[in-house]
Amino acid sequence: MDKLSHAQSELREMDALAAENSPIHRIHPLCKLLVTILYIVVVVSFPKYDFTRLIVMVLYPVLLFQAAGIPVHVCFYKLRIVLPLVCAVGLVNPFLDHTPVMQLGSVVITGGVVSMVTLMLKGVFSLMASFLLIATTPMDSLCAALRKLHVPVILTTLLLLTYRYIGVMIEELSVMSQAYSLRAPGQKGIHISAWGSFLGQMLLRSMDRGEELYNSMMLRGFHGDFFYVNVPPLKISGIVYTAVCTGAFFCARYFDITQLLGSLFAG
Amino acid sequence: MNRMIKFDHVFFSYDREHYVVEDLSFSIGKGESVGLIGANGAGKSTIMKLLLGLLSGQGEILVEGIPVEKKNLPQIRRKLGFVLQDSDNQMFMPTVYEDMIFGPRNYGLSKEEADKKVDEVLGRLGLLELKHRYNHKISGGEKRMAAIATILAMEPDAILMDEPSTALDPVNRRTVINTINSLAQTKLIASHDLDMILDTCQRVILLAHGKIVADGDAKTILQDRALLEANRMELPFCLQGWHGGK
Amino acid sequence: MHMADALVAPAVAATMYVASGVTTGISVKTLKKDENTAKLPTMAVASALVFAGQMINYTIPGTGSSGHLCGGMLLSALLGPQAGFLSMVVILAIQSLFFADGGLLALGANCWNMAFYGCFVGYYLIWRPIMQGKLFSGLGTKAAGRIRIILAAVLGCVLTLQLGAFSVVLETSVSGITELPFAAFVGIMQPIHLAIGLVEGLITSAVLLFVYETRPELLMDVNTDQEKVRNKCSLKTTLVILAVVVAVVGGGLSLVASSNPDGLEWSMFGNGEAGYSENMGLDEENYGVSSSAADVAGSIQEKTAVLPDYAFSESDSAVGTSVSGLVGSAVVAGAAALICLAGGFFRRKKNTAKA
Repeated sequence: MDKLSHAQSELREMDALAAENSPIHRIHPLCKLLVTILYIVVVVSFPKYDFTRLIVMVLYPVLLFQAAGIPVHVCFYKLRIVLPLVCAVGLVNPFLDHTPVMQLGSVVITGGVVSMVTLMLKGVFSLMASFLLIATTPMDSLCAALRKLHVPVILTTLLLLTYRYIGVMIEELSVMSQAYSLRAPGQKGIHISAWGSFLGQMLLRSMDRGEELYNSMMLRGFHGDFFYVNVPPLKISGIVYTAVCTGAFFCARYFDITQLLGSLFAG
Repeated sequence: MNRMIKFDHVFFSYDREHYVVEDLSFSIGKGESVGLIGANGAGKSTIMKLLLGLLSGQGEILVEGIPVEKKNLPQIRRKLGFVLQDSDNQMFMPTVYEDMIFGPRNYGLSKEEADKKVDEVLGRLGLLELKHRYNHKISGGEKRMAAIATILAMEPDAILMDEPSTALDPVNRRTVINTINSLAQTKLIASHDLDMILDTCQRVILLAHGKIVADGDAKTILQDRALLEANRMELPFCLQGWHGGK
Repeated sequence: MHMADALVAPAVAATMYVASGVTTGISVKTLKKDENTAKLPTMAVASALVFAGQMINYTIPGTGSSGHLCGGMLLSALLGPQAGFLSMVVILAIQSLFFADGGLLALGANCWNMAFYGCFVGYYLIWRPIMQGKLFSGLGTKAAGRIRIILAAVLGCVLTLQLGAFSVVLETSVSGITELPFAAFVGIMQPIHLAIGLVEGLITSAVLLFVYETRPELLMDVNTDQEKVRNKCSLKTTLVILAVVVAVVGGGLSLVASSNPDGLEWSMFGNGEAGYSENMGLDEENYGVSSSAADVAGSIQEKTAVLPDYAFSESDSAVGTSVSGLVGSAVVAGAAALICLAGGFFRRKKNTAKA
């Protein structure tokens, strides 16, 4: 049941981060969205044995964390959800793939080990990228960016409203589940006899709430779209940011920067 | 007479069997503050919804002489501001500011005009620091005040309020009462908080089973213990004669 | 069942985005046609509730374990398949953005695996036929309705979860992510999701039953006469969606598969018995992936790859390469650490300046 309050505090934390001010926060949301997607695509597109080239990509999130002043530990806390799945899939690789791909002295490293590490890095990197997007961009700015990409207004409106009401619903449900657990000490979840009525009650209430919400929107002249206000103007800096990032990602993808650095230092 | 709101023999029922509002006639003048009281299910909310065109019944309802009909609704709703009982249902945008410009922008104000309006209203209510706060992070009292502010930003001619003082601590409740008293608009306030009604309204309409039982001076009706108790209410606390204190 | 970004290849992700995008587009269009903006707030509140409701554990008596709610079936039974699908899309988007459940790139795939099957397949293949059918009508209206709801919810959840789980396996395999043989992967995923589907179905039917007892008018298809009007052309819509999407997915996946010999080998020879793991790479010629696309892709890959894909020669130069690669990685790590230190330093400076 603790999950609800955890989720609540996570949402609040993200909101607080997105409301801060930094050079990254001020970049146009559309630029950030595109760069983030590109970054993830590039990261994921590295071949499975290319762990040394993939590692260059760490520089983007590291730079962004520092420039935006976002604490890294918040992001790593979220890894607990992604990593188990990625690990479960990746962990079998060392057992199945014995192709030798690297040799350090007398130790031969097999393809399975390398591909497992690569997979985990991909998981961590792409998580960090989308975390950074949402930690530096408020939800309404993101919706405005999606509108610019011609995402249907029904979807962006729904996204914005759902996001707004998740907080309310989590709060109501956690009050209800506290009330439940106070009268059912020692139970870990909701017992079968209450499955239907527990959520059903809430469901009925929320249907009524939806109706009232609609009234409230109509009474204030709603006709389809919202006015997004928290959108910083598209400035030269945003375009430069997008261009620089795009260039850097492609360099990292098509040139072996790690290799170059390595031969520079190791001769 | 300068009439803001007029109900003329209005009937309404959900199930066509028994009326929630039955043969209701009253009118409210410009600038009046009227308290709408009555037990649960007496028809207070229904009256508000009929007035706003959210429900439609039989009989005639006029707002500044304009009948409440489907084709007039945008015009009518422009004149009326409705403060909902649950502020969460009212404040659906992420921040207070976005919520406040929602109405004005929909009614055709430019961004600059809407901005000016928001600052003016928030300044008047002393809420400027709430402007960029998130709706799901402000306290219950702040939320109620912000909900009132979103309605005031639309500059309605009349304000309807559904239980504006519920679930507030005494200080917040007092702030809401003072704010209501500072408003020059016509006010129609539905509530069980008779002390608040006594503080904010000159006139009271007492409802029971969808009919008007009493309509008149607030002090007279709210001091009539027999009348109130016959209709499942009791005297406001301030008039009960407190014996425990000094 | 949320797939992470790392588990899908970009081409697979793009294909799934197209598939889910087409479905979203058609859903939006259908809703617009019905003038259903009035549904929007209800959709939002209901999806917020499902989002929160999925975090609650429902304990299964006697097992000590717990299950969760199945969002797709519940939402489409309440709102209809199109509105339900859009609500699920929004839920999945928020889960991936704020809770790292899924990922931005994998969102298309996740929408397909969870929302499409749950809403469209679950609704048109299971919910509507059962609810509008004459099953159990001998038991009286109310009792028959109850049994139909339980049957539809359980069957729907089981079927849609099976389809979803199979899609996860397929997408991961085609992406060439894991070395686990296709058959083995399927063998693990399907039974697990059979159990999950059963439990989710029971929980979902409990909630739907409650709604049925208290406010049956909220459920789709419970009152048949009024539904006929509302849904007259939606079966056609679904068929069109399915046809388009099958074409897109089929075409897209086969493209991916042929341009990604890794993935193809993987799913083609996943069932291969002995020697699969050791010799897969070395026997490439014998198995013969000989499409021209694969050849082109292969040559590109050879040009761009540091280490030739499979045949690792133990020449000195190759070993030298991997060592300098590792040194390079260390340099990158050092640079990252320096950036962090510098960032911390500047922030401290700023803070002291402020103070």
